[in-house]
Amino acid sequence: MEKALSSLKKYKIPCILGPIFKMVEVIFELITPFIMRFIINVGINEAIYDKNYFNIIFYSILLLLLAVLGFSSTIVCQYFASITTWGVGEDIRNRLYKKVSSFSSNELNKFGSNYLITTISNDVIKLQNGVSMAIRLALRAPCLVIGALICSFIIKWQIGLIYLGLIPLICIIYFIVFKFSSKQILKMQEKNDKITEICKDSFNGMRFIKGFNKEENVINEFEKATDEYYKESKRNSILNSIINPFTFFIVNIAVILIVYISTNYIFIDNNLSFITSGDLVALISYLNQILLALIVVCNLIVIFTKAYASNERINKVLSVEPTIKNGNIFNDYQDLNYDYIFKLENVSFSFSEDKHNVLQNINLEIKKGEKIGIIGLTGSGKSTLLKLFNRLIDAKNGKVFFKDKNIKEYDLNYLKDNVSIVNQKSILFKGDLLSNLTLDNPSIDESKIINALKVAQAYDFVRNYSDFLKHNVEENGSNFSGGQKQRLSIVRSLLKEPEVLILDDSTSALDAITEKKLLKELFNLKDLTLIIVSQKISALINLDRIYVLDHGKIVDVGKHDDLLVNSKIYRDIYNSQFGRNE
Amino acid sequence: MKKEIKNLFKYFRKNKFSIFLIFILVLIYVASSVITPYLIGLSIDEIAAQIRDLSGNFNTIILMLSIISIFIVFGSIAQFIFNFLISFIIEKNLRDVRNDCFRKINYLPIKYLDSRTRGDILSLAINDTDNINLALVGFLKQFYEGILTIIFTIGFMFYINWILACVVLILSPLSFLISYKVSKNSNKFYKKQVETQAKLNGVIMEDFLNFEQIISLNYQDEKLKKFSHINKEFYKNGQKAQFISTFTNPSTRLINNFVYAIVGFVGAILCIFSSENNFVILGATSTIGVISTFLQYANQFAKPFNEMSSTISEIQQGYQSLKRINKLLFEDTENNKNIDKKFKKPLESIYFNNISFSYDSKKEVIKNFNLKINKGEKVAFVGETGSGKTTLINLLLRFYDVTKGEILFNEENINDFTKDSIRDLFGLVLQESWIFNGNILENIGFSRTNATKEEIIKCAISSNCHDFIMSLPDGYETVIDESTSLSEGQKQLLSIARAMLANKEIIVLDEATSNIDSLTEKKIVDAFDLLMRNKTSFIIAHRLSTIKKCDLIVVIKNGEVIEVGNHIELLNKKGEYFKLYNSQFNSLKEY
Repeated sequence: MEKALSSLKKYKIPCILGPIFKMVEVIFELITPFIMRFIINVGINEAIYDKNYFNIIFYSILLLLLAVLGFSSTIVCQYFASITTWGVGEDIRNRLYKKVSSFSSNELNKFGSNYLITTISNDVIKLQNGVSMAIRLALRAPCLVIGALICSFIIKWQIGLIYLGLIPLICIIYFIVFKFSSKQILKMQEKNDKITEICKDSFNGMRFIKGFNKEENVINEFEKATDEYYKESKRNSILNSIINPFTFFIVNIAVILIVYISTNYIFIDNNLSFITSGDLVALISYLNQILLALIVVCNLIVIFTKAYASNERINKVLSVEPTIKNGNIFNDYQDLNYDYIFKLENVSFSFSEDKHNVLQNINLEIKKGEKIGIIGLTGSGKSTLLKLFNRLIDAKNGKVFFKDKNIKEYDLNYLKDNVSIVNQKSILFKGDLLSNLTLDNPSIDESKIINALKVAQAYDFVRNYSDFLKHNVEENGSNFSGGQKQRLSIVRSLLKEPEVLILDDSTSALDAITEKKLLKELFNLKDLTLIIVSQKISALINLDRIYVLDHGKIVDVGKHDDLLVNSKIYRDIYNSQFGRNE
Repeated sequence: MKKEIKNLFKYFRKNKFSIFLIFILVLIYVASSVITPYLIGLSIDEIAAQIRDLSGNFNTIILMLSIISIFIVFGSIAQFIFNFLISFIIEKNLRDVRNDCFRKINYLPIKYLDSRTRGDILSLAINDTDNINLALVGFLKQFYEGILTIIFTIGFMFYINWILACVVLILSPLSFLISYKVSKNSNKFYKKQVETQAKLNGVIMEDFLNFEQIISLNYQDEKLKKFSHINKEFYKNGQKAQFISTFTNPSTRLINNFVYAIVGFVGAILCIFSSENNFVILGATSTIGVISTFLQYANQFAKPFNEMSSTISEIQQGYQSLKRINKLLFEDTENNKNIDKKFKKPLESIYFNNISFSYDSKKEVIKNFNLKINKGEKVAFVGETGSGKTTLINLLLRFYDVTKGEILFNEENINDFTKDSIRDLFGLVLQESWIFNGNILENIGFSRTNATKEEIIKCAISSNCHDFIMSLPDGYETVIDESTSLSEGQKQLLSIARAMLANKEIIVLDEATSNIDSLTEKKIVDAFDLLMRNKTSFIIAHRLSTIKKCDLIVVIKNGEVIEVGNHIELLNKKGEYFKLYNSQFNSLKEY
């Protein structure tokens, strides 16, 4: 299974070097009290009795030097940490993008675009933060604690035992608080999401809320949600309030014990050489270092919990095995030796196992060059049917054949370039017209584009731009009207020179005359297999064959005139649009 | 004191006692954390004296240790209680602030919402209160505790040894200066990072909202290339910003370690001088215990400076948020003009008396509009996009108020009535459907909260959504939200059921059926015919076939009425309506 953090492998070297340099700093920091001990134990006495100041001065300078060295190694560590963190972030984002582009409609639907957007933008950043903190700060504390333990044993093993007792105590309480707190933080996150959701919902529906005078109802909902959040956060603050006082308490108790045990040995057992005052200063310094390092760790709980939750969310996306598998038939444009360009045998489809079938027992046959129509009411399964044609989904039961071979045997790139669907909601991407129309394929020349523009009835308005194909396209193509966008989308698909062109209600925003001209041009392309899905009878009248879809089934087939006689649904739709019987 | 802060204080007024308690408890904690190193230092001196010449006093040490134990116990308990109290009080009061913000937003004029992005308003209700939370916690914990610690430490240091005190006092704040400088410097890089992030998020939004089409177009590889390019840029800027900003911690540690070394050195030298012939520099005696105490003080003294420097930006941010929230809380709500007269049903007539309206007081969207409507009439507004049809609905429901002229209900100006009593007359279906997070029952039942399940189902059946609701996994109990894979048409059908359930005197359909196929639309219109019997209704629709049956068809162009009449009358006029109608029916002719 793919995991988000496997991106760390690419950054092995900085990821290992970072902590190593951090360790170097910790070692320098641990040596510091040792040197202080030496200054006190040896340096002061030498100065008092021998008038020899060399050691005091020498070791003080050494202390300064160690500080500078420690600083430098930390900086090196931070550098590696920043490279690892951001490198991993970049890699995970790229991997997520790549993964999502291998999804079928099924998987896209399952996650929903909101989930995917939050994952690739917010979750990756949160995980990055976690990685960065782990390298920079989190390693410091355990290293320091273990190092201090070793040093304490070197100085005096009896005192070392106190440290040894101290460490499991801290570990246990930190473990408990971490565990509960991270659960609590996730709960709070959930409640917070609820608050955000209510806000979003009500801002979107403000006209309805005001129109129906339901302000108080929404406010009540909101207050319920904030109250729930408050209750969870109260629980969390009890947990979080424990950890700092606890650390303060434990560490100071250790200080008291050190002094007390030393006092006992020296005063009661008269073991004057048990410990020196320099030893005491060093041992207490260690405890202080541990205290400060642990407090830093406390502040990391929230970051780690969030990073963990984000990691899970990212993994959920990365671990998906795409259900649409690639085939290997490629480039058989010349192969004309087939009966049907498309053939569906008893095809059924549902978005998940437990849901009802959106398509049921679909049978249809389309020959090369035929012009086919599909009509049906909202929710009759038209758009879903189309997705089978370029494998945005695979049939649950039954078989789909493309040029007499199972559609699954074809290479996906080949299939998608050869069967092009134009959606009702036409999307243009920020950039310029050229990149939008050619989809960044540099091999398409201008004469081809002009030709396609003419076919799609878009040449007239595009010609008027002074910058022609370099014309700017705003985000979501907001500087084009709905009708213009639909025509440009058709141009885009035509430029792929597909064998099959599918228009999914993609002339709905065109006025009647333009629509007629456009369809006429498409009809003239004799080799082109055309499938038109529409709610408008006017777009279907001249087609070779029209399939009428109802509740996921093909209920009637025929030409316009036949259907007017034989199909009740078709007739009803016709009448609703042209009002003949009113 | 600033107005904003005064207002915030109002929320905390009921917690006076707790806040007082917090101040006392912090004092206890700080005192215990400052006294401990001093008493430990004294104990070490006794031990050192014992080792040197057996002159140490055992009882003094035991006494010191007992006192420390008491301080530690009380200190840690105090710390626990004030930590908890601080977050408890702040969370509680900010919950109230948040509730007040949300309530306010709900009662602000639609204009307020229309003139801002949803994201802006969302961040007012969500992020800004979070920012204030952080700032207050930072202020109470870091600032108050920090300043107390600094004062106590300075006092004790000067009491023990003024020379060492000076060393610490001069050197430690340097770390504060460094972290301030670093954050100023890294801001530059951080800004670049944020800019790239915005760019990246833009691309993510565009691509991920349309991924199915990208895949369908086989465009994903080129798109990935473009994405990777910006992603790389984000890496470069982010890595730089992080690297620069992380200089703070090591720099302050560098200063700390310097202070440690210098305190050790100066302390040792003073020690030597003190023991030599009792030669004492200006009364600054030093012992090993003093060195130990100062080594700890040096750390304790630097800590609040570092923490405060990181809190300053939080407090600044919190203050900006507070200002924004305060501004929101002082906005005028819709109903504060002291009108409490309620409109008395039933509604007999509506009269647009020479009204004009402009959204921005420059361009008039509605110009000298006159129209009289009687109870039970069905009125259709027809015209091109932007001709002002929806604006008329906005004015009727008093989402906006006319700039000139008056709208009369039963010959009385609607501005003389409370807004909710006017809105109570209307059942709405707008162009954009509205689905909120909740189950189907809740979504339909929103318009009449006391409706029974049977009533809701009845409405669902007559608005043609019963069938698709039953095909959902949990039927009427299925939880839906904006991102649910309901089609636009299905969402709109639910909105229609919702309006039906409300059963109001006036029905408004603003492009309500533009996303629904013509046959379903016809069914809905049929259902409405039933529902609208004896009811006044307003219909805005693209498809002229749906409005043919209206009593009154009003053709609007640039905010003015150009034709009024019924279908037949207008067709005979051979004017604008005739042109519109024919352009739609031309499509029937064969090509």
